[in-house]
Amino acid sequence: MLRFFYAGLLRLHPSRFRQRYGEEMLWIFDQAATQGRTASLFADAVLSLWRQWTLRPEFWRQPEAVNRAALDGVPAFYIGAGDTPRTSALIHGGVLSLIVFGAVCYTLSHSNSHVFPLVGSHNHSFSHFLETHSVSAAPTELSTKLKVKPEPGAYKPSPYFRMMPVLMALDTDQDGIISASEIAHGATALLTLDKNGDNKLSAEECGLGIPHPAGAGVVFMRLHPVLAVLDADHDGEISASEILNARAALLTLDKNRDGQLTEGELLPDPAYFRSLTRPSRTKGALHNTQQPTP
Amino acid sequence: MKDDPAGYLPLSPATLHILLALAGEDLHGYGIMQEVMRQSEGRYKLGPGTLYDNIQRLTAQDLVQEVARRTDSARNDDPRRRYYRLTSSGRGVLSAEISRLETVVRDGKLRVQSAKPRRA
Repeated sequence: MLRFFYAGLLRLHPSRFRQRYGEEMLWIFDQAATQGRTASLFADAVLSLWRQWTLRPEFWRQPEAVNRAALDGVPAFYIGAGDTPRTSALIHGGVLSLIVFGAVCYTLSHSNSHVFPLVGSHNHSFSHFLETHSVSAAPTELSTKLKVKPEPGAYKPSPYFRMMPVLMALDTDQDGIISASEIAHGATALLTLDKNGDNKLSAEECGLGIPHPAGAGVVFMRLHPVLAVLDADHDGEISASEILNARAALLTLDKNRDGQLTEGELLPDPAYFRSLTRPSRTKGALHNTQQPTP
Repeated sequence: MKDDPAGYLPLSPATLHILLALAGEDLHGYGIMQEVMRQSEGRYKLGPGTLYDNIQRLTAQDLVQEVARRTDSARNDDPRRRYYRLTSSGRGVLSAEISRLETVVRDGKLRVQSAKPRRA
């Protein structure tokens, strides 16, 4: 046990002194222990410890790596894992750590921008946000709306949108909403459906399946609200003039007056849909059936 | 290292005893401690911390050097032992210190002998 404590005292000595004389001092302790004279050695070790660290800095401050390199003139690697860091180096390191820590805290507390200069952080991408339409709002107004654009591929059109080529053509950004801008450019979008180039859209070009019974085109054009308003004269096709008037026609479907059309405003009236499924008593029932005016 | 041995003087008691112990033969650390105790008739006890602090300094001053193990005692020698030898510079410093002490002793004797006892 005494030897363990004495070895501990030796380990507290500067590394160069310890490596050079530690084993010999321990050997002397072993010799003295056989004669029962170890108490004075502890006092001597404590005194030596104080002496080496305070009165002999020229020995432990001298870098050993320099001496090794100077022996053969060739720079050599030096492993300092076994050395105790110098007191001055510890003080410098502590001061530098405090300065860096304070600078980081100051930067974070006074940062008003979106730039976070921390390692591991990332700049947020705002590319999926659309511009707000209430840019003229007063600074105190908190009702600013932010519209989030879905990530590419995240939105899947509803079955009704997929069934209606007109809606798919009008909804150019494929977000399920026909915006004010898309309404304004509705005529251009509708012309993309004009396969035969006659500047008008037949029921087939608007999505009516082939083959179909006679008169089904008129019913088809009246069944769907968007086609019903575009085919203003209800002749079963959207003429060139009706295409040009598409913006005004589409806005008649905007029930909530928000300037855009959502799917709820575009779906057919269920009551009108049920009336079509009832057996008609008159021969021209199909032609006389009319959907309520939007 | 100083060229003039007088630059090292006066020597501390520990340094003087260590140089005196090494003046006769090469010794390891424990041997130096025993030799110092023998020279001082047990009045001066040198601890290993003090011993190796002086050895470190004397080695740096090139007054003492470490030598290889002696061949005559190699068989029974502990591998942890290291032997030290007095260099020519160390011997010169020791001679200068002894001369200085001789002067001190001579001067002291003269002063003591020439002093007349006062009447009470």
